Amino acid sequence: MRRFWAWVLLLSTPVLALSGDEVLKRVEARPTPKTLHGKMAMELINKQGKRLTRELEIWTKREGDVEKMLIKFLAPPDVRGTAFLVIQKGDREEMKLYLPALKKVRRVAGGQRRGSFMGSDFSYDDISRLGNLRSADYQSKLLREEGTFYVVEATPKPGVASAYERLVIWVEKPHFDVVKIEFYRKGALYKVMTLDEIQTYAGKYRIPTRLVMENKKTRHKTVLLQRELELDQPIPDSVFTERFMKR
Amino acid sequence: MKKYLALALLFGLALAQEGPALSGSLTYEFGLRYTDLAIAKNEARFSLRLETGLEDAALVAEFQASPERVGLGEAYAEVYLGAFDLAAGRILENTGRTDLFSPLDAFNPKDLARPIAAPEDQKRPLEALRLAYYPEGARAEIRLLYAPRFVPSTPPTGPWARPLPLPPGVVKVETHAPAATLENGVFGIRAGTSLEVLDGLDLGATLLYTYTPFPGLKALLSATDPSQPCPDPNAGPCIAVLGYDRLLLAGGDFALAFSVPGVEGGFVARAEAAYGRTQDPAGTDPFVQDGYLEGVLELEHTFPEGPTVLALYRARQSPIPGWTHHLALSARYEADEALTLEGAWVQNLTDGSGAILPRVRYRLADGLEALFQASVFYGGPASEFGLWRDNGELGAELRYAF
Repeated sequence: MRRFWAWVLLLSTPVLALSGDEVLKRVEARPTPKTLHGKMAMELINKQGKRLTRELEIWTKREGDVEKMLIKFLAPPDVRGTAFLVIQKGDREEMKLYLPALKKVRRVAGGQRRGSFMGSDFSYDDISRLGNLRSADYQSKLLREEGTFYVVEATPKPGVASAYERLVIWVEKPHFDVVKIEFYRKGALYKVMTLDEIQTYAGKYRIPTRLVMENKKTRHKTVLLQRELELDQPIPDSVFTERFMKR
Repeated sequence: MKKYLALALLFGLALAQEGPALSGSLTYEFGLRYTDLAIAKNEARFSLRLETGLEDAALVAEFQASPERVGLGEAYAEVYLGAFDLAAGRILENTGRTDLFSPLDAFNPKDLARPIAAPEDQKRPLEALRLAYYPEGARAEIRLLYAPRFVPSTPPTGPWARPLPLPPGVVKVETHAPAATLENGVFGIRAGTSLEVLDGLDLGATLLYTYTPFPGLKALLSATDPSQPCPDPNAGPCIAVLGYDRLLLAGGDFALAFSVPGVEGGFVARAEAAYGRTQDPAGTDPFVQDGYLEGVLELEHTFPEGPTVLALYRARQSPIPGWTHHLALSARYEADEALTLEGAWVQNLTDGSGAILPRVRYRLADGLEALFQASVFYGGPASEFGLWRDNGELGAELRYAF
């Protein structure tokens, strides 16, 4: 009976006019894993079609208002062993970089968060927000409904540090999957991200396994493939430490 | 011997449990001195690295070959024993925090034959043991280091060599390294912790009981009867005996990340302060190298989607020549996934000399990188960098990593 009412609620929701805020809240209300471990392959494609590849291993963990992310680079060989650690606790954000050639863990400035992630079209900030849109950071309004999509405009709230002036987000109605985000900057379209090959993990987590970010200014594109994903598997806190970065 | 048996055992275990990862690189470097168009560098280097990462152990072995050096590079086995990590072999260790100048990072010897080489290429591995302790639940570590035998650094050679201030009567120079005895080992301890202050604070303290990296004058002997002191160093003939002095190096360091309201992008301040004590801290004995004080303070700022810029100030005090001050600026900008622009400017504020080192990296394909660099030195002929003003180079390097 309870399931019946859940279905009624789910099916009736799109019919009701949702605000932009409500759409993003529904996106965020979907179950998200507390931990994620997996590998990513990135293909960087420039406007001439030349391709470079990157491979990395990623661990993320969420506990209350603490978010932790560790990325270890596996390829190409000249960056193999480099590790990047982010610990976010409320408004505080710590970032450290391990450089194996120097045997040095360097505390790095927060500004790098908006810099290019390994030369790709994703920023470190884009990567860390892949699993969590953090809608509370935005003022949202529903622009329109396009077939089976909600189109929502999200503008960073005053005081929220963001590399973008506004985002336009396409949300697919049945599952509230984000399938496309346009990033605007200096009044113009800057980047477009499409999220596809959405797979359901553990019967509840809907995760896009192929993401394409295109920089409209440079006509440069990055294809990111997520694979060998392990969700909600226990990840000890010792993973998010300098000790583990060096291993 | 036991150490090597343990290494061999671990190596065997590693191979048995998990296939080793092989990587390496082939590098060709060419340098042209633009003052006289002499070929300053024409060298190919090859390295092969084997790594096995296991749940509770790791093994690294690197083979290096170049015209100057053939043999083992970094090569060690490490076991993870609960809160302890124990490593043995040829180890590269970092005990400092700052860049360009790092007075506390003095455990490993450095190869400064070409002082303009990248810092990661200058540091040489050292046969040593390392025990690191990570207290449960604390963001802290304590590292104990022990190298049974001191290995001196390689001073600048050829056109980069700095003349030793020896009396005019010296006709021969002999350099003696410390004997390979247990009491001549190198010891170190480093402790560090991270605190939630501003955007994050790291604190460190280091104590090294080592030797001066370069030799100093230990005795002037008569060239005709080396059992006797040289009667007149100005007239000679004398033998200058050079040697290394015990050095107790103690210091602290920090890195602090912080934001400035209204300024986009964050800042990181890093600093090191070191006191190097020899048996002659006051500088009164001409046959013992002097003690010194050294401090480095640097500030790094990353412009959003722009370059990372670093400004550094260094001060060093020793009885001779007294205080010296340096200022350095460096910048690094990754224009895209292929092109990286780097540059450094170092100024000796005491003698007015300096160096400018621009560099361009271009990734041609995965693992294949080209590097173009230049070096310009200026200042008086006897100044720190002016001494090298005829050594300015244009260089190119092609590196294939696999």
